[in-house]
Amino acid sequence: MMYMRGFIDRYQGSGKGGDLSWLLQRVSGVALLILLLGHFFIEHFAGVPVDYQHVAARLASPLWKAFDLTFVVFALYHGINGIFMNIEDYVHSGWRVFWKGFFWVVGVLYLVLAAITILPFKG
Amino acid sequence: MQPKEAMDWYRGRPHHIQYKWHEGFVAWVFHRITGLLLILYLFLHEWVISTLQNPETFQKTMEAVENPIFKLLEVGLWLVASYHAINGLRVVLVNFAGAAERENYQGNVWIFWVIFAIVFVAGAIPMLMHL
Repeated sequence: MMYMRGFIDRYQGSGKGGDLSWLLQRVSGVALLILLLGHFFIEHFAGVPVDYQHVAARLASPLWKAFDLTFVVFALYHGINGIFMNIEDYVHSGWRVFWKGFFWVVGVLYLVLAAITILPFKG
Repeated sequence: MQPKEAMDWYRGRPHHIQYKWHEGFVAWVFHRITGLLLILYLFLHEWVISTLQNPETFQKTMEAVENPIFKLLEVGLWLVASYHAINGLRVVLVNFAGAAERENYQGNVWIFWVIFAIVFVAGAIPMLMHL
């Protein structure tokens, strides 16, 4: 049962876990910078207005679907992991597990919402 | 090791830890604040863009954000995002390239704040001009 200790430590915010999250925050942060520039460029500097017709045309392409979903995944990971860091720093009671679970669910729901919005567009 | 006078001053008083203000600490506090604002923005933005599921709702959304208040809020968003990004780059340099090592440290926070100011103004000017 000792392996469970590592799992519980992670959720109780001890020093025994979190090295992967530390690294992924840096990696996702840099990735987000690049993805954000791409996203901003294609939305606002590609010479087309932002209306349903043009966005639907862009999202019909699987490449842009993949780009947008990758962006959402990185952004949700980085942001919600940031929230987790704040929870670990400021919530020390058992509520910590609750709030982490809550934001886990929020993250999954937003990922599902992004998929529902982005995937249906057909060429 | 605290000098004797400091220990005497604390005797009998409620203990109060105060961190000494330095620019790295201030940079971190703002990084945290901007980070939280940004994730809240992401939640809002995703919810708004989800109206893309339907041409009419999306058009209503795009019309609603033509309101100048949103244009102003976008400048605020740029302020928050550019701070978080530039300071984030500084964090990566500190974590991986030794930017906080004693020889290199002198002023790394100030340098990045100057870069941030330049980046922010460079982006804000065209945004404000198109208000």
